[in-house]
Amino acid sequence: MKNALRLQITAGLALASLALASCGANGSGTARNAGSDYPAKPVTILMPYAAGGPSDLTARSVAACLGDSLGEAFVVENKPGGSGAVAMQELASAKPDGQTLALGTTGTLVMAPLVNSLSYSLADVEPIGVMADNPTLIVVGTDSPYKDAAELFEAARADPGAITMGVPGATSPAAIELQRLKNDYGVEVTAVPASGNAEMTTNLLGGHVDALFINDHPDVQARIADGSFLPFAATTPERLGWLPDIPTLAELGFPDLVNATSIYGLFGPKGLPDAVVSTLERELETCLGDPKVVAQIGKNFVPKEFIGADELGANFAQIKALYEPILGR
Amino acid sequence: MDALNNLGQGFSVAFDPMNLLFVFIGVVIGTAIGVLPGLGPTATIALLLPITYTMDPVGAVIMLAGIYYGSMYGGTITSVLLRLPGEAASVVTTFDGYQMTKQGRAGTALGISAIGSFIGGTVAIVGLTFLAPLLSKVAVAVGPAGYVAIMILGLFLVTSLGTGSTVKSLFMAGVGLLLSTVGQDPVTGTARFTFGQTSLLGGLDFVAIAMGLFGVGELLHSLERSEKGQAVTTKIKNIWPSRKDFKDSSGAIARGSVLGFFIGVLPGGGGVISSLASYAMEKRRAKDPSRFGKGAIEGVAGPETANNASSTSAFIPLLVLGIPSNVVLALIYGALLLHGITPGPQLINDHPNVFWGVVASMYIGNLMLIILNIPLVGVFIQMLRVRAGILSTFALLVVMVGVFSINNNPFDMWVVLVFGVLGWVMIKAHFDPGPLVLAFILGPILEKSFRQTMLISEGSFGIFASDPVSAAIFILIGLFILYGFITRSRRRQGTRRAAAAGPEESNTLVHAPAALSNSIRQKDKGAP
Repeated sequence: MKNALRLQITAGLALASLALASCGANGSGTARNAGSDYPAKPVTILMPYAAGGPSDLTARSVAACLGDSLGEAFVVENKPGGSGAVAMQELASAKPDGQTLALGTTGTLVMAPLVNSLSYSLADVEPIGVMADNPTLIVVGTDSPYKDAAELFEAARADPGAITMGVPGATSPAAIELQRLKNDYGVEVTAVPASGNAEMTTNLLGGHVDALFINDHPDVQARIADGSFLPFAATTPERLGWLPDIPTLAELGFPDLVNATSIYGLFGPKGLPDAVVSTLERELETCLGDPKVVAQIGKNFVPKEFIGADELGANFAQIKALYEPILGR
Repeated sequence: MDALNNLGQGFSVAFDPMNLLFVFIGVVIGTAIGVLPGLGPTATIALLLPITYTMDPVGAVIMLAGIYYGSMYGGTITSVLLRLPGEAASVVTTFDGYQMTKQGRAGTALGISAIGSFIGGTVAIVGLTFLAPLLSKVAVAVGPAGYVAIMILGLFLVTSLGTGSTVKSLFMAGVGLLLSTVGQDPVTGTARFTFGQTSLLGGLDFVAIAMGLFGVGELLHSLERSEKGQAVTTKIKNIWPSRKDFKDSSGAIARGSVLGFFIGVLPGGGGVISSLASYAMEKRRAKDPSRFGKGAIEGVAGPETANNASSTSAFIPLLVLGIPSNVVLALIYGALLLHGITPGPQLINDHPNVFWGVVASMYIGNLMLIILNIPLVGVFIQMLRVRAGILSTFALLVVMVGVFSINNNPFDMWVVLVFGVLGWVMIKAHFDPGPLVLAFILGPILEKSFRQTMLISEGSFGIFASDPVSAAIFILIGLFILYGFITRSRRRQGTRRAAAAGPEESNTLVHAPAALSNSIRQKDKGAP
């Protein structure tokens, strides 16, 4: 009996070590060829916002395309808790093996850690590429007494703080641009934070604010098309292709106010192997050329030229440097 | 006559066999979850949202809308039979509905509710068809100052109608407002009361708190009772109301339809407030208010009509302005966005199939519901034969899964459990969690609107008088308070004159029956 037991234990140990050894072999294989056989398992893309918004649509559309081209499912997981901080924290603390990625924005990766004490920062994530960028516009209602942006800002200069402008949230890029407008150019406009485009739109249509600093979503484009919104200024470095007659803030005398564009970037945890980053970067670029993906995201929101890992990282770092003196504590 | 042509086009969409099936599935699920006290339309729609992603947008919204207004019918059944409101808007139905059951008039109460719901729903759909474009102009006039006034009116109604003890409801509302300040400051974005917890940065989740206080708290409380509670022993007979019942309730149904319709259009209105307002209105108009709380049929017919009318008219701000007026409509808003349709003024033009198809499906859905409810009410209540223990276990499971699925965050499950224990303690201490939960929803809107108002007015309170909407509402609140004060002092004089000291009557305007404190805590686990 004793012998039989010993035999069993020995056999068991042998099997176990064999299994361990083969695991080890597999493990080293993965590390060596990280780029070629990545991904070996379904990949999770963390979404810091609830299902249904334009950022969710972007992530889902890109995820479906990456899944098709890389042969493993890319699953979008919505984690809107903590204003997106929960998802970013999970990304920052995930194993850098490419199995966990996330959609990141300046709001969740730059501003939230600046305003609040959080256990992650921009330094804990690895940029991969831009999935979509969503420019911001300054618009007024049809019964606005101002005929163009110059008049609007003239009125703001004449009576500091009297002009009210709806912004999508207190720490939104739009709100910070208005803060910089006051700090750097001495033009004081009162930012009225609202939660989302729908609420901002009602505030403008009802005449409760003078103008909006609003993300250019399809609903805004529809209102510009039907004439209920008048676009006054683009807040991008260059004029927008679909609103060629609308000046930029830079042209209007505020050359530094070019950072209000919402960027939906694809990020991984810090320390992501270079091979994984370059695989994802390459496939993302291909996906953003796919007419189906472009149609889903909206052709105005897919960058004309692909913005890869280095440029995305530099862009976020620059925004952080700009916003730190305004938001930092 | 444009509307009629469009509606005709809508019916051709709604009569598509698949869409007919979705209306049917929606109203059946709606009635069922309305009957089951553990599940409300919010949790159900939240659970089904991922499924609608694979559906055609018209079918998805048709089904989700069916669940919402169907739950308004279903919620009545348990309110009347067991004094267990299946969802929040049916809380007031328990006051007189359950009394009617005790008097052997359960069938009549259910019958008049179904008929009232059908009429209220239909009136609201007709309103939706013809008035939607017109009403959008009125609703846009409600700015931040108007929102502040609406929220204060809401809190005023909640604390004065909520329970027998105004002091206790004020206390609960205060706790709710304080809890709502957890999370990011709406203007500066800095964290408040988060104790370093990342999960608290976005504030406590409303659904988690509501499910905890109402759902888990009640489940814990039910462990103390015997298992018999849920079984329906009442014989349902005489569902079709008598001529006298119709005569007594026709006024209430007519008023409930109109009142419910207009309250539903208001942002933050809908369900609960409309049924509370209708109950208060009927009680005030009654020749003999003391009948209320003792089985007055108007007290069942009015609120049931009003909550159906409001759940339909609540679609107006969503479909016309793109503003979801409550949590359920916010989920439907999400469903539309999933399909790349942004609700707003352009919706009727750009997606006439969606707008008119959904509107037409509501006519069909309401017809289905009255057919389901009058003869089949007996079938639905059979679901309640399931033993309380099994139902509670199942409900707890659904609550935990449901709350996890909203944010995919286990933290919310802890919130549910902690608030479940708190809810149980509150039941034991006779504190009503209703005002807490409502104040918790209204708090952030109140704070944000107030601070928006102050930013717009540069710190001047004069804006509340100069903004027409807020001025009108504040005058209304003032009149309410004045009216309550006058009736109270008049009664005091009356009691002084009357030599015989009888038990003091409750205030007709602000005192709802004490039964509310009992029943409101059992209301819908998660719906607004």
